Amino acid sequence: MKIGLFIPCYVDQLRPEVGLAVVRLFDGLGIAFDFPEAQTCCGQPFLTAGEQAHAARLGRHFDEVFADYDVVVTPSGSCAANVRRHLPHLVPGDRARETASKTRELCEFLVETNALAGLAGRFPRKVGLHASCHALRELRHGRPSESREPARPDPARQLLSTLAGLEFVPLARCDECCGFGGLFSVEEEAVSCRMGLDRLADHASAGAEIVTSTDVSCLLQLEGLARRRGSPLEFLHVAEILARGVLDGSR
Amino acid sequence: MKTARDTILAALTATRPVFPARTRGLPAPPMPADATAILRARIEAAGGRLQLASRRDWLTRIDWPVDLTPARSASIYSARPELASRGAGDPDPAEPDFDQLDLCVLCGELAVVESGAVWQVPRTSHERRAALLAEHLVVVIEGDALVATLHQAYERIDLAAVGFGWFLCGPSKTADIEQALVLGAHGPRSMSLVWLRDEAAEDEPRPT
Amino acid sequence: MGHVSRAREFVADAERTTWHDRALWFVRAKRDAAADLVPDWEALRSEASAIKREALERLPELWIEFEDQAIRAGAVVHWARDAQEHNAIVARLLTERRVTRVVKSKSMLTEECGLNPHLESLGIEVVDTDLGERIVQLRGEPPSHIVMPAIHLRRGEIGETFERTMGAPNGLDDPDALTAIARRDLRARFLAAQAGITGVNFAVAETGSLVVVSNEGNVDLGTALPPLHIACVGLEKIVPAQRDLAVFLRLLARSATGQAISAYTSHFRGRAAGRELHIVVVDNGRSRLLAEPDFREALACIRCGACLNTCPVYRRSGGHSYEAVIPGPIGSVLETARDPVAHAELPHACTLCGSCSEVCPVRIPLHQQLLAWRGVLARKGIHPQRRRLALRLAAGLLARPGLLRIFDHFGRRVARALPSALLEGLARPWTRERALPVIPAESFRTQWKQRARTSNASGDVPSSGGDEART
Repeated sequence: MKIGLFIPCYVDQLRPEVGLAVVRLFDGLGIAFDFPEAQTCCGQPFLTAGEQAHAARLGRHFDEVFADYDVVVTPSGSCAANVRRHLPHLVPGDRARETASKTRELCEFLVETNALAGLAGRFPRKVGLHASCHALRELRHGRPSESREPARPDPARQLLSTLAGLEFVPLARCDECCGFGGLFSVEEEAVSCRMGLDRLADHASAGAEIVTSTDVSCLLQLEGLARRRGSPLEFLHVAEILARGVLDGSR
Repeated sequence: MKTARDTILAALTATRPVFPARTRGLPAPPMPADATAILRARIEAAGGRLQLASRRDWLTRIDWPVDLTPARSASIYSARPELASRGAGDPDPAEPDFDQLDLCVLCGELAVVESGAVWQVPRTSHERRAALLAEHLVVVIEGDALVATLHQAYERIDLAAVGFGWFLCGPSKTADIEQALVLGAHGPRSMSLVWLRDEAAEDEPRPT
Repeated sequence: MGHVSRAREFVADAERTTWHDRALWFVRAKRDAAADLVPDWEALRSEASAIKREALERLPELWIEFEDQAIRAGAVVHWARDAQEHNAIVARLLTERRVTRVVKSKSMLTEECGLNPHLESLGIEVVDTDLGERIVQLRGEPPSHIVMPAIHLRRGEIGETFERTMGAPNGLDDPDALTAIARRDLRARFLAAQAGITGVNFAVAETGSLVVVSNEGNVDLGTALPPLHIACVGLEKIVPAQRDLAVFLRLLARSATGQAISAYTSHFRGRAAGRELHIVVVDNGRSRLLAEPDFREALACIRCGACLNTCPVYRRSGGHSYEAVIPGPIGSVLETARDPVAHAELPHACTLCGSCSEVCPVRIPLHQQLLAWRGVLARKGIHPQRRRLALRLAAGLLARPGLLRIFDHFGRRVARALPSALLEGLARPWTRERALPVIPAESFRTQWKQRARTSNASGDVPSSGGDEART
């Protein structure tokens, strides 16, 4: 299976350690992969801004770059959701449809391939799992609190649950949005910050030491608010926790 | 000259949306085993009461929201033969001659377990006004009067034969002031559903 | 002013925002609890969605059938192409009968048409009888929610309004006492009214019946006492058969307030002895929306308000921030269709979290429609102006890997060299309340390249300890 790693543009530029954690994790698990360097952006920020032409252009580039891979893995629920749901509408043709359907968020890929089977990891910390809206409601990772469909597993939660000592803190609102929403974060800045602060207060009163998510965009939003307020909360992507927990044990 | 009706119907006819195919047909949920308990819970959640009694002696057995002794001179509109109206005026005038009533007793047709509601068809507009202007409302159903859900209710009702009918669930209420529940917003402050059955003891409807 | 500014004002009062958010979340939670008690909840939503789409495919036949049935039963049916015609029809019916005192129950359609001001300009008194509507009427404000019009007001504010308008004692803020005062006042108005105007929740084609629901009983007091009932109904409110009502009525109150069913679910058909029923069927842009493939599903809306209650943005900005008759997610779809220029900010007042689509009882894909609106507004050039150029530049950069490498290398060095105060200043509004992310020394792609070079040189694959670099 030829695996192509897609690192979202903002992870590449602002949080490379998340990408490096994925690399470390894949190396440690013996998963062979490639990082095609011509990749740039899946186009999501442009689509959500209503700029469909730009989004289509970037989508075509994404499709080109990953044409020869069997699966595309990305440590981002929102990028995976964007590619799966929107790429076939933005870029015509069968190949784009295939590219869309072969794109996986990191945790769902690890669960599907049973990559952590038999490994006893350890991460004895109190963790607040922030549900990425796109992973939850588009990819159906877990069951949204509004829904009464049969319960569905959340791959991120499944993987983190294998780490001994990791305690999920109970949130008052388990899947309310962090308020990032792309350009919303700067255009509707007041509401965006209020939403993020409410999430932080929930994690803090639930006793979280670390806030984690499958989306770095959510973490940048929450961490930005937290740092400005001198909060002691730490913010780690699920990949970083898995890499430390599985490969380093209790370090 | 084109009328508004013509224009609108022409616009609708010209626009024939076709939506993606979908399946229809939802099975109506069956009568639950603990129907009476569920009905009671739903009515109580709506601020009402369910009272069970036998046809023989319900008048003296149930908990009335007003004192019925004539000395107390409560005004009553009653659609039940066992209880006489008093001070509620002639049922036949064009104008209501009361703007306040202590108690209204109606005959209901069926009760919907899942909703906690009773289907009632006022016989006259006077009766409908009485139901709205009374401080306390009692609706009486008899015998095999329970249906599981609204699906079964609408199978038993024929709206083409009904000029006015309503589902009533609990008393009039509002939560428009800071979501605080207040009973008796404009209409009755209390509502009891009285179910008369042949046996006074538990005679549960059979689950389906 | 626009949603951005008004929302900013709203959020500035942190304590009030907390209160408003919690009040609406409470209603969302009641909806969840009610759905828990309905085992076929999701199947019910699918069925409701299917019925509505079938109805939208057959509107002309259904309305002709409805009209035929309604007329047979003695009702009079009028047709209005737009708000002006609607208002003129209602006004004519009233003035012909020399009606000067009207009671009205909640109808978003009559809000949309601006009926009250029109009637008042003709010397006709209109009293809104839903308690929440009455409160905002007495305050001269629009409703802020389609089901709970006064949800934005605290009891003290309502008490002040009642003191000013109905002589309530100073400082009274107990909901029971305030409601009792309104009850007395409105009872007198019901008794004195010469006509009652209502909206319609569902029109049933098969029988010519109208279904109107309320918790207070004001729909019924407003139609049982006066001799004239005028029912205003939008084209999209029709359902084919009476059995369809079961599906919607099992969903409506649960979605709206978490109740199993409203206190009063009234079914009207034709005229009763001595009374008149006039039905005004209104288009006002609905047939035009029906022609829009991306947005026509919004016509399935049954006005439950669940999308407002669940929307994290609505809860923290309040209905008045939307400056539209209907606020919240469904409002942002419908109102933008009505006037894309005036409401250009509304589809962007959203993080696309998708919660609205999950609660919609008729499965309107609201967040997909809001995204689609953004595309329409951008193509039409109606669109928050500032960012188009910035987005074009960003897209141009990201489409060219070579250019991105240069930006990555040099842009990074420049940004890291800038004094943080300057960088923060340049990056407003992100930095008003948030710290900027620390700009890393190297991007991922640079580190990946370095690692590849190292492994090529030494033949070994080094461990990438990079995730320890950030502390």
